Amino acid sequence: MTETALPTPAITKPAPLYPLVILLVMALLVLAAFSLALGKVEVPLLAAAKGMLADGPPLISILLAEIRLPRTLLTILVGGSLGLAGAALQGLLRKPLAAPGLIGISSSAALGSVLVFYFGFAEAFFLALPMGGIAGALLVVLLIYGIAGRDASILTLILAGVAISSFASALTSLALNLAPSPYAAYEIVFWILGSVADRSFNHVAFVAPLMAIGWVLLLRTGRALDALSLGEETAATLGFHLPRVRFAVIVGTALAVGAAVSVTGVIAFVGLVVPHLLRPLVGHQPSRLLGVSALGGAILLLAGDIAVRVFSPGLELKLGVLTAMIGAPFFLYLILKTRREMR
Amino acid sequence: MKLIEGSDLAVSFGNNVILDGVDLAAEEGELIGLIGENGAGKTTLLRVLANLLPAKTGEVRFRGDNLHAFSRRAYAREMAYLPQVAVSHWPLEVRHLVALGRLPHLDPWQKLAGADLERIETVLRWTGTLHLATRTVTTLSGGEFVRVMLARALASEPKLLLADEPVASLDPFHQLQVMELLRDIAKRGACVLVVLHDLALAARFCDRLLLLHAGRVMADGAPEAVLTPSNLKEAYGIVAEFGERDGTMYLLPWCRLDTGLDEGGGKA
Repeated sequence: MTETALPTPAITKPAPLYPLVILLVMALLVLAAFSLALGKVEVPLLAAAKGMLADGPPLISILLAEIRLPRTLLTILVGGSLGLAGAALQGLLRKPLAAPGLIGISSSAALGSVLVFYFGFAEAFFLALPMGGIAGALLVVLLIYGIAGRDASILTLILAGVAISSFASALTSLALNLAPSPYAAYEIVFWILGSVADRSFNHVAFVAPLMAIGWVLLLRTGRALDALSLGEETAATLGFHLPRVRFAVIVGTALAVGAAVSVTGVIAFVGLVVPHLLRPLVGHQPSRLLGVSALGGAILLLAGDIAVRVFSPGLELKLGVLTAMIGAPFFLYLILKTRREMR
Repeated sequence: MKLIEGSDLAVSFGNNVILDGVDLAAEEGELIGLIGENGAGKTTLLRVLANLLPAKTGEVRFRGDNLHAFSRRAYAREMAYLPQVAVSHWPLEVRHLVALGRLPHLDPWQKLAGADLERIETVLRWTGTLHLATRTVTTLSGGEFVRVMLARALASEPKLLLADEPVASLDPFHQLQVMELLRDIAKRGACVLVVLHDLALAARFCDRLLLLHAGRVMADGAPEAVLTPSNLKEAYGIVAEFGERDGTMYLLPWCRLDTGLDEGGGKA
């Protein structure tokens, strides 16, 4: 037979991930440095670093520490959360079109935060805003899983997401409509547009621990997501307890994305685009996609934030607007590519 | 002690009784064919034995202990399950897909070691798919895909292999190849329970057949004892032609009972 005539490749270990990881980390560091240096006031980074240690020009140190550093850190955390959550959701649902933004998680997290703000709970206690975002996100992930978790088609999943997104946006608009003051309306618009500008260390401290818990939950599901490549029943016979896996992905996504959206508003399409671009580079293996998607998300969002600052100084374009403008056409392209599956 | 035993297993979905008091026992080294008409409960029985579906009554014992005594992971090291419609949701490389079969033996962050890779190579060779190792599963033919999925199931070194219609979509060459492989797996000391629709293959390769009919075990024993004209008539509603070659019985399903055709064929 022809089979024996062909050369037989020896089975080797999967190619190591670290070259890709090192590349991504280096890109992240370069962009982070650029993000710190970029702005109306030029910051000589090296001099500034020395200045922080010795007593250099204090203004610049303050500028770096109080404004640009939190902005850069927050961008990395939020981008990483969106990328990681997107990769995990796609692994759980086994659908390349699943992403926190598309299936309505981001918009309902925004709604959660807006509601907390609207009813004045934001001042009531420290974590009210992120909690609102997380609650909104959690509710929707559960709903989506109820609808599409088993064997629903991609179409059902996306349609359910569209319906949920529209409803959450409608309620957010209602809050905007009924806003008691222009100041309140301006605050609400922030969650709709999405931005990392003018965030302080408080915001970072706010959400970092919640995100960290979400990240741990998501990263631990890698092997189970691999097994899920073979479907739910086979994954179960490979020794995985699926309810526990679902719980980890759902709660992890809600924590990471809900916390992110509560401080930056809706930043769309990162969770969709990043895993999709990186998947071929890791042999389509869900477990290997998780970590690199977090890095990729951080890189993409940093690049986006740098772009809005470079191309629209003065009246700054909101980051969420930019990612939507780039992400939506990409989504269309993906739909065209997977059209056969959509039927 | 039997490797796996089921006693008085019953399963029903709503008012539909799928399994009704099924008893079975299987030992290491046996290749057992699970046969019966569509809807007889073969897949359901396999899923109960795979611990995917709880039986309403009765119990499954593995090495003498109730299945509930095993963690999912512990049972996964002993048992492999090949579903009727195996899927790969991502375009994985064959070797990576087969490596998923090693997951029951790996700790959460443990990487594939030399022994794992050796096992993967062995099962790829057994299933005649070693040359496909670096191919993407989406580029495989139906028959190649089934054999790769069988390799995945064998990768965990199961003591019990539950395979649901593994040869249904294969050409005759690969049907024979897979059946020979299953017989080899059994000879190496595993217990193989395989759902089959092809009665000729079932008669030719299986040590024992378990004939399910309407959720009950209608016959359990050597192929010659199970595939009798009266059993075939009652379970399948068919008449078969029987023959013999080198002391082994074979049969060919010939006609349905309700068409008015008799064994001689004739008018339509």
